[in-house]
Amino acid sequence: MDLVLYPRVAPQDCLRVWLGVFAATAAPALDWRLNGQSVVPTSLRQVASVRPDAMLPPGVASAEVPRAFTGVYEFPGLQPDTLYTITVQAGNQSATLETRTLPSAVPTELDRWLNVLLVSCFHQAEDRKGLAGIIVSQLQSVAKPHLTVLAGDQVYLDLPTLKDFPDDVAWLAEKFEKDYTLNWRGPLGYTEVLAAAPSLSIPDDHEYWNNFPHPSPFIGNSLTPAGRDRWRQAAQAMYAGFQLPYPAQLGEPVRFEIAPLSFFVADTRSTKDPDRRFTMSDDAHQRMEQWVSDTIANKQFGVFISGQSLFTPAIGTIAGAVGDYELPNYDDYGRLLLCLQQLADAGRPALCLTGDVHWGRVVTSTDIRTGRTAFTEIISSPVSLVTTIGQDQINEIGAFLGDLFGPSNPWPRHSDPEDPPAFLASEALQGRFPCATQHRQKGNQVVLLRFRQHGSGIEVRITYWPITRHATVAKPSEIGPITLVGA
Amino acid sequence: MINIISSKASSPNTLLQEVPRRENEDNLRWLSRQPRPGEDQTSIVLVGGTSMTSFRLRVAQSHVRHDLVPSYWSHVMLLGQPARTFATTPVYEISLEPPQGFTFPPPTNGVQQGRISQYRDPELYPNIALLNTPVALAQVTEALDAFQRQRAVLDGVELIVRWLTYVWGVARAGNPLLDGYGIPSAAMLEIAFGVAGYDLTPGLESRSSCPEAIWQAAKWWHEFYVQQNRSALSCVYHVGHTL
Repeated sequence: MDLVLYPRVAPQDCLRVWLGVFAATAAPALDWRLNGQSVVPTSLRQVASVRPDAMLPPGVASAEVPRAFTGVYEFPGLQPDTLYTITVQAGNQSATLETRTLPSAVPTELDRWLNVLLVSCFHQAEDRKGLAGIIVSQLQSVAKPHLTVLAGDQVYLDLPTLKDFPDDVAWLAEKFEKDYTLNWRGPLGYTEVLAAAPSLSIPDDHEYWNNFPHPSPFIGNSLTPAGRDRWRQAAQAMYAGFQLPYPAQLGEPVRFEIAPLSFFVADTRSTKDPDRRFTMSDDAHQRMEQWVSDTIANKQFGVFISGQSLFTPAIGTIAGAVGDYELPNYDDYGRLLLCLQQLADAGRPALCLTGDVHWGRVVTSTDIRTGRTAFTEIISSPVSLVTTIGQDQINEIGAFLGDLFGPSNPWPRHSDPEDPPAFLASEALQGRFPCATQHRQKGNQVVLLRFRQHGSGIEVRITYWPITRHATVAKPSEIGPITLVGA
Repeated sequence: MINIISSKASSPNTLLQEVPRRENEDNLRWLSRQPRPGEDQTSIVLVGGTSMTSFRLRVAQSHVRHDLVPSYWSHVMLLGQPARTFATTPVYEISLEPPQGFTFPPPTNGVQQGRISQYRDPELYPNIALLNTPVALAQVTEALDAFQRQRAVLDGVELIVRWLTYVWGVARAGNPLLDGYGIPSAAMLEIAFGVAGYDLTPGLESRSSCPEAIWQAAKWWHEFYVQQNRSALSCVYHVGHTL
């Protein structure tokens, strides 16, 4: 049995921790201590097997199956921005976590910042030496993150691409649990990223399969409704066990505030409609509309976080069916953007954070009615680029030949960042928000966002940290400061 | 092109008043007869000079104006706690023409402390304005102290060097404002007032602050301050020289 603790994003007066108990055959009894004092935390998810009994191998007693048990616990009644030590004891094993509560407000002082780490797309098989973890852990000496946004594809459940998976929910659940365990338990994996700061996850397609919920021509299990359903059940059980931001339920958006920032974290994947009528449920849309109203009423600055970019055109039906449909391919994209437009109408500039696309980019869009920057989108992707059979080999051969005749290409498998559309959501918003690219970042990366209050607004500095040892591209790129000025 | 936004106000701030200079009145006497700032207010002084450095700075700021004519103003400074004699009242600034030279500016991030008497001469500084902001002086000076230790937030020394190369016409140095580098003293005040929660140049989304942008805030951005539940800038001024 092996215990692991990671901090989760929580309101400022409490801490939430995720507990993983690996290689166990039953849920252990737990003793918790907070700063050395015995406590009984609130259980948001009672420690339980990530694989329900129905997903265990048939004919084997559950007490004979070593597996992962996870729980999420909350420690209320704490002070904001304060360091606490949490210890959990299970039998003769124990784990200790030192973590801070979130600050109640973005700092106003010149030498203080709210630091947010934005990451997405981590394929452990392409980072076996744990370089991502090393670089993220070293960020602490430069600017310790207060929170981490895990913006999707924290696991690639559908890899290896060319392997046929049995269409069996128990087999799939066991495979998915191993994938998660590799990243969450380590060694290496995603452990340093998960430990860096309280984190909040949203899923993207690879928490399910490529282009979920649509059939993928490369994934045999996804070609039948029953196969898709079995895969979805197993994937959601793992997501609930490892990532779901309790007390939220699957598919529900999460809101939290660090004044004057108001975050809305949208799961635009779990409830996607197979007929592409919507990417979020009606309930999620209504919650978003309420968030926009509250953000305007409270004169806050909105931060909208999604698993896919808003600043992209729809892709063709064939490309979408083979690759991954974009948010504009769903009928509710206009509803989503019209909702965000209300922030611009009220003179409240907003940030959009996302990942997914395997390159980084900063785009601003100006409101032609005011001349002000209305939206700034920051993309951070990938931490570790997923293997793409065929395309990787072609790119590497091209890079090898290119290296013979010119400078070395440090990112032979990575694609160049794409241009944004000329106007943000031109069908829904017409030509009101022209887009301009402020920065492009190729290669493996994480993004550190630093926020400080300035006047009545917010100053944002964006730093792209390349995940590489390649001397020519290892230097971080700083963009900004970008100033959000409210009307 | 500099990304400066025009205010939607249809008429200038009524708290902006022209106060002509009396015959043979120097800037100290002109300033002395203006209303003192309240306890919860801080004063800023704008000056427009006639030296070559001032001329270059005033022309550089024409890009912040929609009509592209040179600014009235070449420099801006924070007026400190009033001294027993007004002439010795301290000013906090990053001047490109410091009377004692630059010495070694990094330890203070370029910030200089001088006296208001440096700006007495109406021939050298024919344009003058006194702005009162609704921010307590202690808040601003505290932020200014922090600014001197935080070059990472805004490198005042870099701004000095960039602006001197432009003002002196070194090599092919262009107008730093067009690259988003504010005039040092204005950029310093922008940061200090920002820490105190006050937007000194709401028309700008970047760090390219300058005396002209502060003047425009005083003249045209009064409605913005009201929307922010803050008092607008009040200002008295005299313009004796235009380009």
